[in-house]
Amino acid sequence: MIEISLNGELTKVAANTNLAQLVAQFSNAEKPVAAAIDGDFVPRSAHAQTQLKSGDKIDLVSPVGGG
Amino acid sequence: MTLANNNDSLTLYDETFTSRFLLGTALYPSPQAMLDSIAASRSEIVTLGLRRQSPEENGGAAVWQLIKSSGCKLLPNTAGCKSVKEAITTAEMSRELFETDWLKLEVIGDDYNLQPDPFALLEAAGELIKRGFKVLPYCTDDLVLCQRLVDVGCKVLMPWGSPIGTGQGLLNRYNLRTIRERLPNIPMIIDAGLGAPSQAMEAMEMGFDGVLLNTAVAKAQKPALMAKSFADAIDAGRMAHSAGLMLKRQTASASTPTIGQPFWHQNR
Repeated sequence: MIEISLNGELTKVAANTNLAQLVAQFSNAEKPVAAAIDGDFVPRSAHAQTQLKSGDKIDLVSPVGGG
Repeated sequence: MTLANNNDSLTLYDETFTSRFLLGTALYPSPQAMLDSIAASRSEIVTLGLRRQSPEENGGAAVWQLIKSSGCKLLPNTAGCKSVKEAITTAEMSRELFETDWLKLEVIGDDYNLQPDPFALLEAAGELIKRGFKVLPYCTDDLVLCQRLVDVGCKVLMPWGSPIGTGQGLLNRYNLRTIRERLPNIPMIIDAGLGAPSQAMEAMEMGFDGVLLNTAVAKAQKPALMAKSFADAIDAGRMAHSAGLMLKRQTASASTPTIGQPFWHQNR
């Protein structure tokens, strides 16, 4: 297991987890999710190749109403 | 179709719109109230944002589906961003999620009045335009900032009327008139601070090209009715601007002809 920060909260995930696997837990057909690691955008096309590392600060975001 | 809309469309980044009213999608008492307000506003562009969400929270999904169902063009924002990096990352995430390169760019410089940081805004706008975004910057009414934003490639500006959510209307008419007169060919949308339809109408009478607001509609007792009221005021203000307002005078000027006035000077 490795420890990461996910949307500001520390959490543990399996050591071989990639970003696509993490995003899959959060998104569904009605709620798309975009991702950033350490403040840098990671495009969807790179999720599967992005292996999570201990200490990664990951932001997963979804649409909300806004002004 | 009203006279205001007749051959008087709004063009932003080479896309043409009939409505000059852009509406936000936050703060409504219910998702249905939001949808009803969008319909009543006749808006063709709505703003929305991005926020962190947990797997358990699916409430945002319903709102997102409703916003999509409105058929409006989406204008994602970078609300809450305080640095160039935050704004750029949020913009990239928005482009992927919403499949649009349009962006309402916000970079906030002060927590109390949510005033845009002009320096970070300019830097972020320049970088995002290089990356292919169509940037609609939420900016102050400062002439030099507006000129610089145009210089880096912004083809639309969105100056504030007053701070977000205050409902104070157009606080600095001198600055607003100045940017309108000095940048006559740049579409300008008054974004933020409007609380009443009369304030939106004033902005349109001054020659601004459109109005973007959220709180004044969402926090009204009857949001959809307020949305219609703003839409009608914006149309009326646009018509008034197109018609050409009379010049103000210091002294009275009779509207009824004085020639032929009965009893003229008889009692003097």
